[in-house]
Amino acid sequence: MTIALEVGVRREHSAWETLSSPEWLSAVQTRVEQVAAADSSTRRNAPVALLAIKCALLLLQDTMSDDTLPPNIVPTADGGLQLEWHHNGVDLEVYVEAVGTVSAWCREGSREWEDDYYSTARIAKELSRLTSSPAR
Amino acid sequence: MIDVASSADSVVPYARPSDLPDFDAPPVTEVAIALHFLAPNFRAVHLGLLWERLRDRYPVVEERSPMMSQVEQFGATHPPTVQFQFLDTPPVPLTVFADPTRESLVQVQQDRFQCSWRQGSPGHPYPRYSSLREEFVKNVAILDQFAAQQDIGELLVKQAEITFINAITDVDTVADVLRLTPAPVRDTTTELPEPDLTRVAQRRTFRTDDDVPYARLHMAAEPGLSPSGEVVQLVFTYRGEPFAGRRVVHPLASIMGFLDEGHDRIVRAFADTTTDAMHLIWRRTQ
Repeated sequence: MTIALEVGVRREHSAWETLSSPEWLSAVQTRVEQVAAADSSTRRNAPVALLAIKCALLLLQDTMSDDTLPPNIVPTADGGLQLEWHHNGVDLEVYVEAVGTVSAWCREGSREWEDDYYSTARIAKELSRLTSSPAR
Repeated sequence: MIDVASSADSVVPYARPSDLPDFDAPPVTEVAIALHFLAPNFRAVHLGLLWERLRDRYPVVEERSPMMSQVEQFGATHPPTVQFQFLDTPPVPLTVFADPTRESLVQVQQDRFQCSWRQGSPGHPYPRYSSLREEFVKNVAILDQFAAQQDIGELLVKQAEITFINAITDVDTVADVLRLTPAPVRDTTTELPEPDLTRVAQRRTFRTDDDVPYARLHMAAEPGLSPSGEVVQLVFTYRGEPFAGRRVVHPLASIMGFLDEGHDRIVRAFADTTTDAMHLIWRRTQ
């Protein structure tokens, strides 16, 4: 079964900027279309839940800057999605379950944290270091 | 899920801190307590069904265009600029459920739930935080049970907020209300008139023990109009992520702990930023 979901993207630009989209947006779009369209009969996973896709996109909307690196997006066995970033020695994984619940785990060397609740501040802080721009 | 089906009172008791500043006649005219959440499965049809559970207390209902929820942006070096809109269902309106006096409202839209009190007449004093808090807990319990029974999914609470609006009468400018440091007098070659309107805005950011920003306290003061005439309006909003930096045993307890913390910080900021002369008028007792 293919998930039918039409998603509009609104983009705020100041008049000083040329019209463009962040690089991560097209990468996320491509990957979400792939995981949503994958035929679940050919793999062991349950089909990805529409709610998980919506919640994952809203999470990215809340936490990504224009220069943030795109996540690797992996369907989970229970119909959820896992968003992963592995860069600069930082491992950040965000789990969106089929029912929309969000949890996250991060490790950088000996520093490690885990959240069972939706916490955009903590995720956004980690993502601010996972950018395509030179280290700040 | 907030899960307040079991006794909400036992989960979220409130005790006013003994050292919290207090006033017999505070100028509070409006209070709003709100949750901002992710619930993409919440549809327009749910609003009517939810009203069935609220209409005894809030028999008046009105529909409005959804409002853009203000959300604190933390952490990102540049604010997010992409917004996704799901076009598989039409936009869910903002629905207002009001009590017959219109002093108490519940406002619901797809991503926001807000309980508000507004002073209807000068003879109706501010009912105090503990009373508004109790009403909020009851209404959140109704929403939470409703969401679970309607397969809306879990309400993923992103942020919580509490706002106090004060309308201060019989003053001319914000300088009569706030402790402000006057600008130094200096010689000038221009003949500019005195400013006829002055606004003051402040923002404070709070961080967890491991330095993650999670809440902000906003203060804004400016002249305004109220039913009683010209006033200085003094608005405090505390908004942020209720689970950040807390050990979450019961989600509603964390949310109410965050809101209690916000009330506490607002009251202390109110007392710290307003003048002693105003405290006499508002009959400060502590």
